[in-house]
Amino acid sequence: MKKQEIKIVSKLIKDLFSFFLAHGYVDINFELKQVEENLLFIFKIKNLNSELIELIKLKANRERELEVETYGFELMGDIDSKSELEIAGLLIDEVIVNQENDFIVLSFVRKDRYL
Amino acid sequence: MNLIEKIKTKMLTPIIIIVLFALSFLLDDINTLFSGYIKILKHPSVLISDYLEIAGLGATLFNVATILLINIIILNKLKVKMTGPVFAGLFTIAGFSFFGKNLFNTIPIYIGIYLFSKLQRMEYKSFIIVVLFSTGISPIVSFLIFGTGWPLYLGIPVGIIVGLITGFVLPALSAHMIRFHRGYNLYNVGFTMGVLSMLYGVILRAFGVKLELLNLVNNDYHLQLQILMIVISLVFILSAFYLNKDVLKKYPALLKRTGRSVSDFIRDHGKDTTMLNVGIMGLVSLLALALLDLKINGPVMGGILTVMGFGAFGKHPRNCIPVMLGAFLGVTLTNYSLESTGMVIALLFVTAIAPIAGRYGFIIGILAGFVHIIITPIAYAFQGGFDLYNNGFAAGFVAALFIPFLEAILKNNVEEVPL
Repeated sequence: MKKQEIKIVSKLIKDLFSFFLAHGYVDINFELKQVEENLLFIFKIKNLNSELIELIKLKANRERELEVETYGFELMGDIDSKSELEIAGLLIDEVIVNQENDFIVLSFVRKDRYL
Repeated sequence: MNLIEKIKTKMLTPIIIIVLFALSFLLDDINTLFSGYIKILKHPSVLISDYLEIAGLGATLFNVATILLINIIILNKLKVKMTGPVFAGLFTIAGFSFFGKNLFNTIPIYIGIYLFSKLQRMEYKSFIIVVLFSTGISPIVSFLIFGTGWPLYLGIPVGIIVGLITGFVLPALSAHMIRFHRGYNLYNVGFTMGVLSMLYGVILRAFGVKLELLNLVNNDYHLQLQILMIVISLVFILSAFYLNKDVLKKYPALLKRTGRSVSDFIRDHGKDTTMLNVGIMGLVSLLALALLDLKINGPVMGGILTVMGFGAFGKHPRNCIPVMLGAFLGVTLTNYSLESTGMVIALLFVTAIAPIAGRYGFIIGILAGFVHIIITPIAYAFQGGFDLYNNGFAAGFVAALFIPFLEAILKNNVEEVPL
């Protein structure tokens, strides 16, 4: 993985964790996985609020923006309100939501398209 | 492509270029136009060099149109779509082409960024935000060639090499500097270039080069420029209604945004709502100037166009008016005066810190605007005049002073409204 990609991936992890913590979710299982050319950020959280899931989908399913890969990504992780993910959403291709009993599994997909 | 699609895709920029070219040829005869344009290309262009004073209105509009055209061609070649930052970049380039930017001094910086992208093995277009804002430091190229008194065989290579180096270091520096003010200074590249400009100033002084800040301004074209900007602003507003007659219903959602970087209004609210905001921001700027009976010259044009451009990238009346009001109070309650062009343009460029008002409200916005305007002249002397975005340099310090403290005491009380 290139240095720039490492920076972005670590910032994304920090940003996503900050987001869930800011919304009061402390029991979080996290896994980072490489599947072919995709990097998956998998969060397993109990009883995740459905409105929040919709907000996450809205932000994370927006089109990736190439410019943010070099400008603005440094602001991630500096969360200052509960509804951000503004920048993270532009660095993630999509989010896949699954339910496992009481747990919601969110898989944020970042495709290796640019770096 | 039908008319609606054309307006939507390019946000009126090709039409503006055609109008500017037409006006430049209508206002000056061809000889005056080109001799004026040569004067622009050969001018040292450090702050404040109003091209209206140096070359007249026709040649200045020709300079603006030429630079805009080249940048549109570059964007088309790179297949870059019209996003909020791209639109803001284009309007900022147009604005500063009234007082400091020209084709000659901007190209080496673009090439420097291209070389950096090659070194990083990344696409040039991934650096497009930095590319579009990079030329704020272009006077360093012109100054080294035409302002030092060095022979051209020395000045030209030194100027071009320094331009290349500047472009080469800007992407990495600007990505880093954004953390200093945490995205609350919309002119982040301006802040970065202020730091570089300071370094260049120190080096040049160490080698005995005399640096002189200029104050060339021309208010003679006030009426023509006022009419031009009223028309452009109204065209944006009318186009917004042409695209969507119910655009006003969408506008309140945009007004609720804090504006903090990276707020792309085109992506989040659509081109119709953004065009309405751009037009309104133009009228807000013109109204503020008219109320204070301030004349429009080259630098003020830079201010108006930049405010309009950032109408797609973070600025709207709700977050701009408080900081503008704070800046006005800063001038009237202190020893500063609106007779200084630097102060007049700071009334417009203070909107760099609009996200502070967007996030923390009206009163904090007024305070931030007040502090900004009293810092601006000091920043100007400090950075040496090579950074045209002097207010971006000052705004970086204001945001860095305000944000850590405000976040510590107020962060739990604020909520951003989801899109």
